[in-house]
Amino acid sequence: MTGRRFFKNRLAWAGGTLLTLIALASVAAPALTSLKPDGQRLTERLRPPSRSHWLGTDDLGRDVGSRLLHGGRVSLRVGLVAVLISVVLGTLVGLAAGYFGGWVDGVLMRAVDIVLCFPTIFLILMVIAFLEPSLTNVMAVIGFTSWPGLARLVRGETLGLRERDFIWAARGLGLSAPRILFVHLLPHLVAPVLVSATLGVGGAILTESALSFLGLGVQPPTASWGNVLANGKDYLHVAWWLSLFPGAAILVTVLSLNMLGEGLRDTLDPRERS
Amino acid sequence: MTAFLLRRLALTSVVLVGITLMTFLVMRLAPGGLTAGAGDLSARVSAVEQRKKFAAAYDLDKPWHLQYGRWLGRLARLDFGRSFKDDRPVLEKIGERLPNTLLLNVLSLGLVFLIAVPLGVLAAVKQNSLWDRAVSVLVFVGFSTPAFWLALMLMLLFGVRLGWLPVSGLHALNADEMSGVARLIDTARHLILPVFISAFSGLAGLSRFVRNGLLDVVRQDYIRAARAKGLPESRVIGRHALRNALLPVVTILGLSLPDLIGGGFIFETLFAFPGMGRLGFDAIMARDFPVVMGVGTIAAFLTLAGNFLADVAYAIVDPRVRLAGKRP
Amino acid sequence: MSLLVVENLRVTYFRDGVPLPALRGVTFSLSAGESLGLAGESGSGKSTLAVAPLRLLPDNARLSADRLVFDGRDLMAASPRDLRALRGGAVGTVFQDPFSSLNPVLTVGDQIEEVLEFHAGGRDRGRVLALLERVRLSEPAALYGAYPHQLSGGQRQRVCLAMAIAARPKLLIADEPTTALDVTAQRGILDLLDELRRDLKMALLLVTHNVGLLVERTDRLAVLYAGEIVELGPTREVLTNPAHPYTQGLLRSLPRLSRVEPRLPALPGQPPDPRRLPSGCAFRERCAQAFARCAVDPVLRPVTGRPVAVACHLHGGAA
Repeated sequence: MTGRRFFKNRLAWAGGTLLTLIALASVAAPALTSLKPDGQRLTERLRPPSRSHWLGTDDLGRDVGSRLLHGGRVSLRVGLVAVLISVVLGTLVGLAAGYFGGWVDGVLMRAVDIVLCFPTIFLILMVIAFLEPSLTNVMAVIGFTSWPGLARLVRGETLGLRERDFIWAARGLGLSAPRILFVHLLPHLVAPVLVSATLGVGGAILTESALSFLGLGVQPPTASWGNVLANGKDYLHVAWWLSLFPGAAILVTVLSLNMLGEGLRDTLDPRERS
Repeated sequence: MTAFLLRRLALTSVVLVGITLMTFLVMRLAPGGLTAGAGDLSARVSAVEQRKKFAAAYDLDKPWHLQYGRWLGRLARLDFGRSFKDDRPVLEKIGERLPNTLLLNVLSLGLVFLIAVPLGVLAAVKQNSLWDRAVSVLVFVGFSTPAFWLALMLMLLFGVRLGWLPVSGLHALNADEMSGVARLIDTARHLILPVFISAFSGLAGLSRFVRNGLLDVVRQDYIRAARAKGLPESRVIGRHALRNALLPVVTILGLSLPDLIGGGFIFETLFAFPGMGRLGFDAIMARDFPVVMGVGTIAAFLTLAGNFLADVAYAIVDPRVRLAGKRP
Repeated sequence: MSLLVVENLRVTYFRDGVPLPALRGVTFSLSAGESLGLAGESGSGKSTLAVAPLRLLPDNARLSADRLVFDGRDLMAASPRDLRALRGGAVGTVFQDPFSSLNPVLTVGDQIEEVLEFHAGGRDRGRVLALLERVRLSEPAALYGAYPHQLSGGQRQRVCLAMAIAARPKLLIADEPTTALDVTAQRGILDLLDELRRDLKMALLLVTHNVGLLVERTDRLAVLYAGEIVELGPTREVLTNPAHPYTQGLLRSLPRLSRVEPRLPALPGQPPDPRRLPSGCAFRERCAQAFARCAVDPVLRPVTGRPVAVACHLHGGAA
């Protein structure tokens, strides 16, 4: 029944399709274009979009389109890994806090509160600045700063589920806590966590591109939407395509993720009936 | 209400202590990082100099509980030491910039509220109509747009191509020579783009929140009861529904403060806006540790204060909290 | 002269495009000053019937009727403004849950005063206090500025009653007014209803699942099953001599102190799912006396020799 609603949900469809296209394009990047993302051709610097370079070239003569396609791989990878980290951490903390309650909950949630008080960007900037900016670090940092939000969500859901009859029954049967948590509670958390994770990938991509834009993320010559955009900033007056397209790429990708996530939420949340 | 507020205050205090602890820990662990990323010899030498200064400034040689005590004492006085860059007191540097950031944030919040609430109400009242869908689209796009890119695009459009708005700073270069009114207008012109960018994604979130909140409220029994009393729809929605739907908005506004402050780090830099965010960013880049600590701590405090104020506002506005347990 | 005339009222809800019939052709009338009890179990359509005449149905409901007339006015053709004038004015409504029927962020006094504002000439604190006294609430002045959450369930329901009678309505519709209250409060509310009805000479439409409440308090009784009235007549008549097998089963299953039984007789089966209503008589599958003719849906018609109407082939002529 849920599956049927999903297919009826246009938002999820649109988002999902768009995302799939983008993902496929990124994965197939090397096959899609013969133009190398790092191939500098100094005779072709800063060309506007043309037949040979659909999206123009940058200041080193590199094809923007190709850089964006390859950049997509980077961005998507960062998004997925970062979200994976935050999901694992956030779920564990949220489950523990929600299920055990008491001082465990108190301590964990205060920790969450404390981390959430610091502006995320600030934390990330600080950490990256003190470490080497690199792809791995970016993924880790984003993951480690976004788990608190998910933890709160999971905790809320767990609190609600904890009082349901089937959990009482499981406790009555003497099942061990880990078993209850992972075998009985976890499946019910999949839906809200999946929604949050989908939306989270979008957020992670936005953050990564912001970092790369500031020079603290993916380092050139590796292309990332963010650092192509950073390039564009310097040539704003003369090469609008260098700023417009990377941003548009980010926008469309995150949009598709948001649509997919919201569509999923509509499907999975029984209250959402108009 | 008092019970509620006392409880919130207690929790807030715990978090406050936690913040001080966290900053303390970062402080103790960071010195190693001060040399990281330093490439050449001169950079390394200056890094070592920084470490020495740093160690002296933060009493790293003393036992840790003493250190923490002193740290708390300094925090209480907001004494973050002196900037590594220009040796000025950190507090002074922040003090110059903070009002600008606050101005930006307050204006931004105000704009968000002024636009998002009517939009959300409109979308809810005309559910599934063209308006509703338009607002939906706006929400999605708002959430998906990278703010710094939007900033660039708007700068390009309004600043470069059309030349209507200035793209950097808070005041024109000759601001001092302007008359009072002209200065005000000048400041306002400089604020338009940053405030708008800052408000953009908040707009999306709040209008969606208001819309969903209002839709939930309208489903409630007391709305049907109000209609059963023969009240005109304007009264039903305008008074009965909105009052309930807008209650949580107060809290939301308070909770969006960290995002606002955080966002500032990026677009204050973009717009060369003389605010605390830019100060913090530059300090991070320059490894100016005392300033970094100062900005981070102040930002966290502001967030905490914002959350607490939101709680207080909610307690005042919702009679169920204000008069909990009081019999008439 | 009939105050309220309802003829062939049909209401269908639509969820995800699927039609859910709640009322399938209900006909009855109510005279001025008369009280009519509507008894039915969950899903019988009784709550829908309580709000349908005033067109207070949710957006996903479709209503149709051959006639729907109140005090000489055609409700089917009425403009929204006319309907609003009636609601809270000539027709007062009291709902089941007094807590959720009151706006939590407005004071009790304010909410009562609103009715006066729109239906009785204007806001007037004095009249509100008088109303609070009228519904037998002590310390009206203190209650005036109180919020719903500060009151007990019984107090809240009295406040809702005060709102409903504020404009001296000709008809009061009470949808399960006591269900959400404890037993002691229930009695108080029902007694108050009686009193108000007598004093204000109001007609009363009392909807409930608890038949016992209707004894001694209503002039006539209608039994609702699966969206249709299956029996209608003077309360005493219906209760002492039920004609419809459903009514019979319902009354048999009421626990009585005078009768000691090892087991309460209960009706077998469940009320039908509105999505899958059986053809013919809706009660057919649970009826011990069903026979061939029951494949055709019976119409509510008077039983010869009795002031009662029943929708059952066991009584009366051809359908």
